Amino acid sequence: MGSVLRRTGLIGLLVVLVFAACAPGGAPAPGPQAPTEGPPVKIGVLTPLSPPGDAAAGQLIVRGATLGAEYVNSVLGGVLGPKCNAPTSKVEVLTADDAGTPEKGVAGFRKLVAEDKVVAVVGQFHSSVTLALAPVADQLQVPLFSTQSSDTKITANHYAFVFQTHTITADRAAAVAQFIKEYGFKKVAIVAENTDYGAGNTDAFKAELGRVAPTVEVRGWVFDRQTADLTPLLLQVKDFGPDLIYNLGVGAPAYLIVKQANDVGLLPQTPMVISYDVPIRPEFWQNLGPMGKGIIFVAYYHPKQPLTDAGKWMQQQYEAKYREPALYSSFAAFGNVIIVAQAINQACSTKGPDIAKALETGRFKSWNLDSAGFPKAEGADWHRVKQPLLLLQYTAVNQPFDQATILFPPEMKTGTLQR
Amino acid sequence: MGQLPQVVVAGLMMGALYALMAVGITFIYSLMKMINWGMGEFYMLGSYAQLVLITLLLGPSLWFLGVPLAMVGVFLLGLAIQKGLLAPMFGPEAERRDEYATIVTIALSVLIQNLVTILAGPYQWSPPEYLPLVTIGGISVNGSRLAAAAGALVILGAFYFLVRRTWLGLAFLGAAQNRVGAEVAGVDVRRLDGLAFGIGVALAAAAGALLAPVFLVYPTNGAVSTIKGFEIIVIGGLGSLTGSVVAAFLLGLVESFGSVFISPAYQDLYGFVFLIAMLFLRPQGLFGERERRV
Repeated sequence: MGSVLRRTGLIGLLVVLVFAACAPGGAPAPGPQAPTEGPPVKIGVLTPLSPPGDAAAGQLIVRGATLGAEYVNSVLGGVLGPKCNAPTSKVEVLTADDAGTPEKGVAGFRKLVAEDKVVAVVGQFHSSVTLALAPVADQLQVPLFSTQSSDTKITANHYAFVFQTHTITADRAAAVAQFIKEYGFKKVAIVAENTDYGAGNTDAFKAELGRVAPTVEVRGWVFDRQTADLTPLLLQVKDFGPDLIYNLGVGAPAYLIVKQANDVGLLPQTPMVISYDVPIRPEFWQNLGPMGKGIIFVAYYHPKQPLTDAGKWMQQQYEAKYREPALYSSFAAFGNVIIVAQAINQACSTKGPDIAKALETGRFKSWNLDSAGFPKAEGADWHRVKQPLLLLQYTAVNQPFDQATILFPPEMKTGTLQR
Repeated sequence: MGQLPQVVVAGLMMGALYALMAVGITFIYSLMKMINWGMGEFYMLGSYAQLVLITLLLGPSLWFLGVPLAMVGVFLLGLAIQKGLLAPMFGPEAERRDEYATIVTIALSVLIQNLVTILAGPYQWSPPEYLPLVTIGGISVNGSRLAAAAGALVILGAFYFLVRRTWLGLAFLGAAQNRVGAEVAGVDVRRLDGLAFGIGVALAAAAGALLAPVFLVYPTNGAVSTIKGFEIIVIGGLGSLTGSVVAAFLLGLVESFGSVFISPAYQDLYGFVFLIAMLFLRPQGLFGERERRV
């Protein structure tokens, strides 16, 4: 009997202690208790995860966005919370596949917003898809981030809910045109796929080159993105006799142009610039082997560039998790997610218009910038953070990305062009 | 005009590879009277099989062993698919055979494509080149492409031998001409259906395996070759193996010439223009026969 009483007394004491520990300051809470954790705040990642989109880029974007959510939850302590007089919520990322096609992108965006109730969507990679989504984002009033799509119209059209964190076509055209002028190329062949990316970059590049180096002869060839045999086209390019080839293919076409230019004898004699950072991917050397030596490419990140503390956190976590160095696509998506989280905290709201307003007026920490903003600026600078852009060259077979020579911009040069 | 020899060589080489796809489609159609809409996925499986075989098991120097092994693997898969999914449409209770075949093969292609994307990832891969660049009469030719074209001709030759010079081949031809007649003569046409489907998809796999280092390996690499295959069988005449081979070479040349002498931007359009012209001039195709109905 005594032991039963003792046990009951102990249980009673434990119950009292638990209640005391739960009550703030040991005092009883006034009225009904507010929940300490709110429902998760969902951020959509709409990106190409299957062909014909560049699904490899999509995978990297998903990895970065997932780490972004982990950073927000573990380092920033979630979103909202006492400062907003609301329970703290964790951030959750929901993935959808746009397959690099506008129709699948629009369907995916509507599903993320209507069914999954995401507060913002990041992960856009193909310009054609982003341009199709932009009016839908405005209609549904949900912020959309262009993580790695670059068409100038994405920002130049001044969509109220579209935000750009990637280099735009005009920046790329300016950098490549300057590079051509600086290294004295005289005859440039553009080989572009028939997409918004290919067409937009061709037009912008021709216009920019005409401005900075009007004596350079330039000619463009367009191919269907589904075409695998580019030999006849490249024979025409060979007939033109260029001293530089500008490769405006994305995904498989970017590789096919290199391989088949080698077949018809254009490479390795004629230098080739690849318009984006596909050569930094692990499969580049396996696919091209010695053909990859001498390739020049546009990159948006270099392992030796300075990072914010968030960027350093991401770099470490990524290497620990995936056993390979983080690449730009992952950094960019990571940056988008943490910017959305900061905007939610600044707005103290998860409503699209409030987040968009916070993005326009606030300053945010990203992976490489301590104070990024999306002001309502003029022209193509509307809602965009300017990113540095580099031109690198591989000078040896199987060369690691961080050892590629930086050819452009001049202030970052680590060597000269090897022909 | 200096490009002419290179254009002809490129066109003929592509023709040899198109022929493998088209003959595979025609062979299945001739016997089973159905179109396999998932042919491109068997091409894709062949390319993945070759990638795995020569990068992980055989090594690049034994690439030529990878092709028959990939074909055998896909042949066995084809047999299983035919037995499990397509054979029921020949049962006595089966109705609307064409619709059944269309739905099953399209669903199969979506399933295979998605399974491969999940298992192998969406990345583009390339096995090592089969041969280095070859120079023939001053024309530089990609060694892998040359090896692929030669391999395609060898496989087409073996297929011709099988069909024209063996008992099994004669049974195939008999069943293709008159299914009931062949059955009355004691031929097990159900068994032939399975073999025909297996051989047809193995031919597509051969094209995929041979072209793996040329056109890369990724989950949707078979889509374009399927479209070309269907263009060819209509141009050559539905059900005609000879027509498929001839039309394949013609299509290769038309695309190659059109790209160089008109514009490379419309390379895939020339085949359709050729197809439409053929439908106007000779609706039954080059080697097809006009259908007579009483």
